[in-house]
Amino acid sequence: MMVIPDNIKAIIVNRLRGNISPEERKALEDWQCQQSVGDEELAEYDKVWEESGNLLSQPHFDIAKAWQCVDQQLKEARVDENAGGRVVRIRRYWRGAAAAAAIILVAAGSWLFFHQTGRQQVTLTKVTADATNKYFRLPDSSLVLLRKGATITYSAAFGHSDRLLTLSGDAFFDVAPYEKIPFRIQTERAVIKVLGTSFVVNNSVNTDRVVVVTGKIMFTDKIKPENKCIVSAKEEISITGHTLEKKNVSDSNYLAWQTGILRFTNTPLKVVVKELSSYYGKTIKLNDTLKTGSVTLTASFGKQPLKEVLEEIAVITGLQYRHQEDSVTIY
Amino acid sequence: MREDGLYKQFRLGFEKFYNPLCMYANSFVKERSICEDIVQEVFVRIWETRKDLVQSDSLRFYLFTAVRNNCLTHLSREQRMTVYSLSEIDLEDDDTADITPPVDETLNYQALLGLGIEQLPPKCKEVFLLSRMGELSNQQVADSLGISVKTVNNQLWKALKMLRTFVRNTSMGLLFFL
Repeated sequence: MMVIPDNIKAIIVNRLRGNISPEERKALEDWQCQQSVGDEELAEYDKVWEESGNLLSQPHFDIAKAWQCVDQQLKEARVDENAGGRVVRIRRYWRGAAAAAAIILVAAGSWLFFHQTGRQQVTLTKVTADATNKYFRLPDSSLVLLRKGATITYSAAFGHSDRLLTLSGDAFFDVAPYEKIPFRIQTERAVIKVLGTSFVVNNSVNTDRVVVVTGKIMFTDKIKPENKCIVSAKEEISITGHTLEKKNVSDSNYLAWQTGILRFTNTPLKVVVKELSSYYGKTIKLNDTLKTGSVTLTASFGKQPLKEVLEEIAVITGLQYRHQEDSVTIY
Repeated sequence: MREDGLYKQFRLGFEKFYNPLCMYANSFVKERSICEDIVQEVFVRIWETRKDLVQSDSLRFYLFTAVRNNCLTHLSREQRMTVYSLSEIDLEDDDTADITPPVDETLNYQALLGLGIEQLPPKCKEVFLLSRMGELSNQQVADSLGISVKTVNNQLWKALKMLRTFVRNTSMGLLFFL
């Protein structure tokens, strides 16, 4: 194959960019004569250049919608500044499709919020998952999965003037993207604001906790609103009293109750059996040598029966297992 | 300058560069919605902290560089970045690196080209996209990526050659089947 000298390459590139100098044009022609390179070959490069330009300039993204987002965000920022408060730079993220997932552990009994507004009677819709996990759609077409025992409450205005709801218990949300009306979840201690995303919510006695799987949310202390924090993917935040604590997510299987997927990455075996036990509701033990050993597991299980999971672990680790009455021991 | 006039100009810039910037981001980050987030955030930040850029000639350069950096930050956060160093580019022209075309593709030239661009080696692809989409000069591409102009030229050339070969081979492969 013919070797093209660097200076000629540079000239051809300049020619494509349309800024070839007369000297360069001369040099190129000389070289063409010398090497008997026809114009056709150059024309092929022209075509590649030209057509790739056309290809790449085709609109693949919704510019108008994007501008609305940016415009809106800048307006909000301006309002914040004019309000005179301390300007906190908040990075907001929008999502075209489902994106954020979060688990929020919420203390119970906080749907009184709607009555605190002091207005007249507000019609409330209350949904409770009594016996099993329960799927349903909110008026804005956001999807909710309530874990057994959880309750969600929202007013008739939901989806019109606001998208605010109150939650106690655990739930998973797949929020319909609708930038103009932010989606907010109210818990006893905090307000979680999301824009078109999905996330999960659970419950404990004195701590609210949010785990963001993908995307972003803003977490605000209800009593002290200056206490707030942006939480990104793979981070979690908890509030106890008025103390916010943000850290990286350590437990990768917090979503298992919803997704049915358990995933382990170099996870020590004793952690694995703990998570399997709680997921399958069956005691799984290690024999004494393994308890102190350094065996780790990397695997992912999706909605498989426990038997299959155990088989797979046996294959991966070379260990064995046996059933004993109502427990399983790996050895 | 009136804020309003400047804001209009800002909007024009947004409309002009939004699509190419998203596509550039999309060459690093697979999820389109995240690409859009990144690009939008870059614009928001420009308006909030660097209004002076709106009217400046270096807006284009700044935008593409900022989007690139934000994409890389995102990827390193997501920990699935295949790290490659642009400074380690071999300056040798590698003739053996032709890309293998798949057979059952449409004859449409642009579609072929799109496929070819997808398959360019990462560093080569980036130089090509920046030059073609950002319409940045070789010097600007070099500055943006922290490599030499000579390297930009070589990579650009390599991209052109590979694309030409790709389109040719694929078309011929198809003709053979027809």
